[in-house]
This record gives sequence, C-alpha cells and structure tokens, in this order.
Amino acid sequence: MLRLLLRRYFQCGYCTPGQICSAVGMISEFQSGLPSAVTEDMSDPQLEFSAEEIKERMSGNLCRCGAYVGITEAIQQAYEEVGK
Amino acid sequence: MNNFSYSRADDPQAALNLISQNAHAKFLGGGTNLVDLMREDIERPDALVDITRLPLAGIEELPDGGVRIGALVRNSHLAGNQLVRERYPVLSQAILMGASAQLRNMATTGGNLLQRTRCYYF
Repeated sequence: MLRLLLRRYFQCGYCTPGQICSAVGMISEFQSGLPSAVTEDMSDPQLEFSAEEIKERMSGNLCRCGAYVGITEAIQQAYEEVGK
Repeated sequence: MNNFSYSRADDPQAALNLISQNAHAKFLGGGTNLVDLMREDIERPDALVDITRLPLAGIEELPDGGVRIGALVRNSHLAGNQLVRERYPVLSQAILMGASAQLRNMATTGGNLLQRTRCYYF
C-alpha cells in the first residue's frame, strides 16, 4: 500500500504521511462495512469501493498541491491489489 | 487552561457520586466538544468525571419496536449499526454528514445531545 501510494501520486510530500494513515484507516473502516455520507442505500451491507466513496472518506485530508485525482487513483489501486 | 481534577467512574452510581461532590464538575465522554472548549478557556470545570468505562455503549431493539441507544455509543458505531441503517437510515446519513471520521469515532450519542454550541464565537 505504502509503495503504491508513494510510487508517483504525490508531489511535494508534505501531506503524504497523513494521507497514508487516513487511507489505511479508511480502507479498514470500509472493510468493516461502515457506510459513508455518499453511500446510496444505507440498508445495503454490500458497499462498492468507488471513487465517490474514496473522495468522501478522505475529505478531511488536504493536499496543497491539489494532487487529489492521483491520490484517489492510488488508493483505488492499492485497494484492488492488497486491500481486498 | 484551568487546573482540574480527573477521575474515572467504574459504574453509574460512582459517576453520580463523583459529579455531585462538585458543582463545577463535568462528565467526560468522547471529549470532542468539551476538551476544545476548555482549551479555549470557555468551559472551566474544576473536575472531570470520565464516564467512558460505564456499560452504556449498547444498541438494543425493544419489544415495542423501538431502539434504545446507549449514551456512550460512538457516532460512527451508531451510523454503522445494521438495525439503524435499515430502520432509521436518515439517522445514519445525518451522523455521517457531520464532522470528520476521526471525530465521529470519538464523539458519543449522549455528548452529541448535550453539547454546548460548537462555535465559540457564540
């Protein structure tokens, strides 16, 4: 996960440690079935790990470079490779 | 920030005894509201009574069809509870639209209902 996030998706690196901690925590909350504010059907225990969900769940972490698209992609990729 | 004493209650009766000993004592739950206001010198309790170990963190279905939510249930736990998600989805949604994940993991239902106005400009 760390390797994937560091590979190419960050710019200055200032926010990187916080983004990684949040991503790890967020993925584990997702895996435990916790819904988010953008989950469409609250009653459905099956959640989809979409870009929308990642954006909402990571929304407290600011990146001054604005590398959000890359961060979202990195988390999606990390989840697919190692998170499932 | 004022000096204050800290004690932890092991059962509800002990919590009531501790809080009644001091007119300026406050219960401490998740601390997401009270501790911030203490740092800003708005709340100045002499004593904090930590109630987070009390057995009040349950969510149970009642025979009459209602649901009883313990005062110490964390916001994220309440929002993620399957019974609440199925029967009271608006409650889950409302909680998940408030604060951040980190705060929701700490904030309690009781503290949420009893909290002082969050913005200290007021």
